[in-house]
Formats: sequence, C-alpha cells, structure tokens
Amino acid sequence: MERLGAWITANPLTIIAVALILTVVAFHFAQSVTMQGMNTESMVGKESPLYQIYDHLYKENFGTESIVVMIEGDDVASSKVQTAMLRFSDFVKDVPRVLSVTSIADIVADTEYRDNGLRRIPAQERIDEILANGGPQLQALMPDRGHTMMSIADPVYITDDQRSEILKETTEAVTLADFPPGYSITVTGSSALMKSITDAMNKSQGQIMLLAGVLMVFALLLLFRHVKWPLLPIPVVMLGIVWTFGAMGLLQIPLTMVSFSAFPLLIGIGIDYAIQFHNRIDEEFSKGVPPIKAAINTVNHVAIPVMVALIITIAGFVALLSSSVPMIRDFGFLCIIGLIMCYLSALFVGVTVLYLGEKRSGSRKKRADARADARAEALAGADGLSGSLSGSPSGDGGSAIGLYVEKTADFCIHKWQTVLAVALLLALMGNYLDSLVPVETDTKNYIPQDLPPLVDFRHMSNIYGGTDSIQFIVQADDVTDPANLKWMDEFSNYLLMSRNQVYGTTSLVTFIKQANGGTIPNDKTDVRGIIDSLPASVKAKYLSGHNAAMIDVNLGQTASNLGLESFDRLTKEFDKDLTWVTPPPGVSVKMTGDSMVRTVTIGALTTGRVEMSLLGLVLIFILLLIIYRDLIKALLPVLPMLVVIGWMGGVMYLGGLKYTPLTATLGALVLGIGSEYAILMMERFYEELKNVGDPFEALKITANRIGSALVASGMTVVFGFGALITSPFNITSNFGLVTVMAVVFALVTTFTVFVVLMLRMEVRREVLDNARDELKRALRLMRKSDGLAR
Amino acid sequence: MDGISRASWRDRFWAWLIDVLLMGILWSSLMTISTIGASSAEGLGILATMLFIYWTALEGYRGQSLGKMLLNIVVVGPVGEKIGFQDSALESFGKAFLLPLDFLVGWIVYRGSSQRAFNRFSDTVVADANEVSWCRH
Repeated sequence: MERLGAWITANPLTIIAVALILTVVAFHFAQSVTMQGMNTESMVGKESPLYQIYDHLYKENFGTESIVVMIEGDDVASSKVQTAMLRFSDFVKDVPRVLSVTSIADIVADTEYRDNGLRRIPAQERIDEILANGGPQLQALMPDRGHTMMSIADPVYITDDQRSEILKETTEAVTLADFPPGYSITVTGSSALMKSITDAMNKSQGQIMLLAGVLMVFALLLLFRHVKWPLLPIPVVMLGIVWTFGAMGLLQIPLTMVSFSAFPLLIGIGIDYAIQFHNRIDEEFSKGVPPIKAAINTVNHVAIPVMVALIITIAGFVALLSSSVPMIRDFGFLCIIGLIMCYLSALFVGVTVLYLGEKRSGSRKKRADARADARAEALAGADGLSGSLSGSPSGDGGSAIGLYVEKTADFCIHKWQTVLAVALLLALMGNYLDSLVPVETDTKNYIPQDLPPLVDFRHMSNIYGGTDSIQFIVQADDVTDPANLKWMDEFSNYLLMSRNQVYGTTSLVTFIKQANGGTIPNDKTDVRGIIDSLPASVKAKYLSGHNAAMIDVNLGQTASNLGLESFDRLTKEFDKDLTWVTPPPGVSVKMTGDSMVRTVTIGALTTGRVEMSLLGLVLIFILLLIIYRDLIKALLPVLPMLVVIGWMGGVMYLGGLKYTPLTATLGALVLGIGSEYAILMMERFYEELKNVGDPFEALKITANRIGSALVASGMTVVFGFGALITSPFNITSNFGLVTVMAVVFALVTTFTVFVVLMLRMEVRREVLDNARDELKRALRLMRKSDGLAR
Repeated sequence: MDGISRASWRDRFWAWLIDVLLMGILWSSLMTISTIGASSAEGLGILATMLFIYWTALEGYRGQSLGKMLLNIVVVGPVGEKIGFQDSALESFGKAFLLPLDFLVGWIVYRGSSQRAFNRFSDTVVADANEVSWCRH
C-alpha cells in the first residue's frame, strides 16, 4: 500500500484527469438509466410461474388499465347529463390508444341505435326504459340516480407518458363535454392516482433533497470542523454516486423504488470512506508530517482497513442477490457497485485533492515544525508514525467529540456486564417484537392520506365498493362450449354464495345470460351468435379467441383491508374452491390479477428480510474468518450487528411502523453501516495496540481518534436523512426515520457493545501474548548470558 | 482439584446470561422464519436444543462458550484438564434442559463445591481461566 500511496502522490494530475473523464463518461451513460415503477417485471422474476401467468396469460390477453370519471348530482340519468356524457365519450374514444369507453350513456345510445338506427340520447322516458332493463353492468355503473361513472380503458403495455397524455385529454374532454351546472365531475382511478402520486412525489423530493443537502453541510461544519476543508467528503461521495449512476446506465440496471433507497445507503457508507481518509491525512498534517509522507502514511494505514470494511459490507449485500425479487437483486447489485465507486473516489480523488491542497498551502507544516522539534527528543529512536502515537490520546490531536467517545467507551468498559446484558436483552426483545411488525401491502397507504386524488379515489371506492379484484383465467380448446360456460357460471355463483369477501363476479357468462333471458343456451351455435352480438369492449375484456376467458371477481376493498397473511389465506381458499367445484375435463383454471401479484411480491419483498439478514451475517462471519484467520476477530463485528438488528425490530414495532419495500432493505442497511463502523474501529484498535502494547491505552486512542470521524460521518447521514422524515409521503418518511435510527444504533453499539466485546476478548489474549513474548525474551537473554559465561 | 480456583456463581451467572441472550436472539430470528410460536412448547424445546448444541460444541472444543470467554472462566476436569465432548454434552444437558433442578440440587446437595448436579455427574468444574495451564498457553 505504501507503493500505491507513493504512486498517488506522484501522479495527482493523472488521477484528476482520469476522474474527470470517468465523470463525463458516467454522465453519458447515466442518461440511459430507466425509471421503473412498481411493475411486475421489477417485482417478479420473468421465469417465475407467477409472472408467466400474470404477464403472458392475463396482461397480454385481457389486461387493461382504466381511468374513471365519476359524475355526481341530482339525477345522473337525466337526458341533459346523458347528452354531455355521450359527448364526452365520443371525444375520448378518438384519443389515440383508448380501447373503449363504458358508460350508461353509451349503453343507452347503443340500444337506441340497435332499435331505431340512430346513435343518440333519446327522450327521458325512453332513457328510463332502457336503464330499467340494463342488467348487472348498468348496476355496476350507476348504483343510484345520484352517482354514475364512466370507464376509459387503455392497454396495460403503453408507457407512463402515453397514459399521462390520455389522462390530460380526458380532463380536457370533461370541460368540452359541457356538463350541466350542479353536477360534480371527478377524474380518478388507478392511473390518475398514480400520476398524481408521481407528480406530488417529484415535487416534494426536490425540496427534501435540498433540505438534506443543507443539513449534511451543517453536520459536517459542526462535527468535522477540526479538519481542513470539512465539506470535502460531500463532493467526494457525490462523485462516487455519479460514477454509480454511469455504471447503472452501462449495465442497464433500472432505477426502482427499492434501488432508489440504495443511494441514502451509499451516501451513508461512502461519506464514511471519504471521512476516514480525510480524518487520517488531516491527523498526519496536524502532526507536521510533510504532505507527501502524510498521503503515503494515510494510504498505507487506511486503504487496507477501509477495503476490508468494503469487502465485508459487500458480503452483507451478496445475500440480497439471492432474493427472488428482481428489485431487491438490483438493489444489492447497485450497492456493491456503488460502494466500490465511493471507495475509489475517496482513495484516489479525496486523498489527491487533500494532498495537493496541503502541498500548495504548506502552512500547517510550518506551524507544526516548532511542535515537531519540541517532540523530537521524545520520539528519538521511534519509528516515524508508530512512535508519534504513543503519547496521550487526549493531548494529541483529540477533538471534543473524540474525548466524549473515549469517556463513553471507558464507562462501558467499567460497567461492561450491565451494558452487555441490557444491550442483548433489548436485542432479544426487539427481535421478538419484529415478528409482530405488520407489512404494508396497500400502496395507497404509502402516500399522504389527504392528497386530493387519493381522497377522490377513496370516495369512488366507498360508492362503488372498492376496486380490488382477482381474475381467474379459464383455458380450454373451446371455452365458449356451453358445458364450459355452465361451469364458469356455477363456479362464479359458488364464490358469491360461499365467500363474504366476494362482492360480485363478471365474465362472458354474465353477458350471455343477460342477452338470453338469464340462461345459457345449450346449443353452441346459439352461444356463438350471442357472443358475436356483444359489444367489442366486452369481448376484448372477457374473451381471448375461443380458448381463453376471464372471470373477474370483485373483492371490494378486501385486498387493501385484509393484510398480507389474510389475503394470502383467501387466495388459498379460492384454490380449494377450485378443487371443490372441479372444472370439466380439458379445462384449466389459473388465478392471477394485480391484487394477487402485488400482495405476493410485497410479501416476498418484506418477509424474506430475516433470512437475508441472517445469511448476510453468516457470509460476513465466514469472510472475516478467511481474512483474519481468527475466531475472535471474525466474531467481533458480527455480534454488535445482531444487537442493532434486534433493536431496530423493537423500534419498528414500538414506533408503529410497518414494513414497506423501502424499509425491507433495513437488514442490509444495518449490516452495511454496522460492519463498516465496527471494522474501522477494530482495525484502528489493532494498529494502536501494535504501537502502544497496552489494550486499554490502545482503546482510548482508538475511541478518541476514530470516534470523532465515525461520529462525524454517522451524524452527517443522520442529519441528511433526518430531512426525509419531513416528507409527506409515509413511505419516504418512515424510511428516513429507520435510516436515522439504524445509523444512531450502529454508532451507539460501536462505542458501547463493540468496545466491550473487543476489550474483553482481546485483553486476555494480548496480555498473554505479551507475557509469552516477555518469557521468550527472558529465555533468549538467559541463553545469551549462559553463552557469555561459557 | 483443590488447587484450581473455582469461578464464582456471579461470574457463571453473567456468562450464562450472555450465552442465553445471544442464542435467544438467533432463536427468535429462527422462530420468525419458521413461524413457530416463541412461547409454544415446540419453540422452547428448540431454544433448549440450540443451547445444548452450542454449549456442547464450544465447551467441548475449548472449554469456553462466548459468555465464558468474556468472563474469563473455563469448564475443566477435576485436576484442571481439558474436557471432551462427552463430558461437555453431559454437563450442558443439565443447564440446557433442567437448569432450575440442576442448580438447586447442586446448591443444596453439593454445597461448597460450586458445582451444579450435572457438573458433578460429568466430573467437571468451572474455573478461573488464568488458573488453568492449558488455557493460559
């Protein structure tokens, strides 16, 4: 590493030039980073049966998205309202990519056209007559005379921009349709809601990021002010982030809601790398070491420990690559790349900039010369850096924070049994409480509950009974065979009768029965005739060719209200129902739909977290064992992480928080930050132990010196991510809170539990090692004196 | 045997507590994964079994569990010799599955020997690690 340090000091301009070129290249590739919403591809592996059924069978054949326009007033069936609705419908049907518009006005106009050859809204008596014979579809569109809705269907495969365009045209069409005064028109539905959420999120995100930046600057100025250029770690880590974005574009890793949460983590750990190099080089400068020697010493003493921390942290993230959820795998991969980038940025760019800055100013060297001279005698015979560390920690470059950390460590060592027992007991309780933390499966609860589009959406759900549904895809050589249709009818009725959660079922059978006086014809030709006469929008939604049909089971708000486990139980009950009401031979039935995919994938996102954390811990332990070949050194960083994971579970439960796709990465966050702090502390401890020989003294120096740097980096993350807590979005706010708590706990355990474990485990060994060395020296002396005597 | 300084009940309690808490944390994670009730007989049985395996393995291997390492105490034979896995399994059985009984019998019947009943059965004692020659070197 000394050679690497020498190379860095010999080639500063090359390093800066390469960093600039890399940054330009990264900006180029960063432009090709794609944003990916919570879609199926990001949540389910393409090879999984869930994806195959949902995407290939359901979405490709039946999948549509809907924008809903809700009309409320005295009499929505009045001819004036119907005329405006038809105007609106005809306008929207011409909008590119709109598949169909379903409304009572369309039903009335289509019936009028079928009966009288004119597609128009007739007189009020005729409207009432048509509506009276409307059947179940009409009931679903107009639950009473005061409310009705229009549904605008578009294909699921269109882009978000194209969907936004349809939404914009729909909103304009509301004005153009010229609804009578006194009627309230609301554009809502999942698409509209998602668009509003994205807009609101983007708006608040900018303000929060700005606040986070200001708070991070404030934290560094407050806690890292004892060094020259205390704000430098921020641009250094940002450079690493820019390179990471470039790598994302190059490797085509999409930016998802989960991979977004990798950035706080990267900033949190990356800033620590930058601060460790910065703190050490500044320490060397303060001692009056010449810039070139200071840079070499820094690389020599910090590059390897930070690299060990980096490798261990990466081992923690490798566990995430085993997840079945692509989003989580992307998150793990992104963290691994990002950490390497942040390390390279801190090692090469951070050290080079500080070296060049000190070389040019040279002021501290001159100031330190006098001090160095005074100390020269004391250091005589000692070997450079190692000798300079043997003084009192508090009297040599110690900051106020360092002293506080030192005192805390000292206190914990004296009360070590109580500290350890309390920490472990709280971890055990937290671990138990963690199993009681619920999972938030309803994505609508991630957003501000007073967001107007959500209020509208909930209003619509209250009137129309919610929009959660499950789809059964029925496949056969000919699904329109009367025997198959009769089974579909029987199964639908069975679900309606036996399950309270089922509010209604709609399938091709519903419309065939409606057109045939409530029965299914026994003759296949008659069935085909009825199907041919059905509106194209109905056929497109419920039938694909003649070999696949869909039964849409309306669950109201069940998926949102039941929670993950209960909804999972309900789907298992549906599976049993299929065994009870067995499909005819040659007919296969598969269950799918948005609610099911969302519940399964959010469950996979959140419930695998304990396994991933344990796997991460095991991997870290094995890797530490390989690196150090020492059981104690391998165990030391792992035990405090176990404690933090437990504490975080307790905080999640007591804080009334729920697991979301963002907080599901909590284990990785704790492993990443916790292992980082523990390993840096441990490496410095052994370095100082080598220098001073006495474990207590070595621990005091370590706590003082590295403590201030760890507190500075930890508190920078805490201040920065404290800004996220102010977000009106629950998911972001909770993530901010969890990140802050994880960092605080990682810091607390590093200076308490870890210190205690390190000292207790090491003291005896070191004392014995020293005694053994003393014995060997004494024996050597005895042999020498024996030889001399002879 | 008389030459070996026996560890105090206080040190042994702290070592036991640390071991139980550490294994308890791992156990509660396993309970979450396996969805077995923590307070069920099955759950408690798993905890006792985990503790038994942990103590047998570590104390049979080097005479010290993590808790004992931190407290600097060690399980040894009557004259301070290393114990094997067989002795370790026997003395661990008592503290993993029958601790109240094991402790009370030892405390009342073998008063003054600083031994639990299963220590007595396995002919083991818990000593100060600094007093044990193989542990020192």
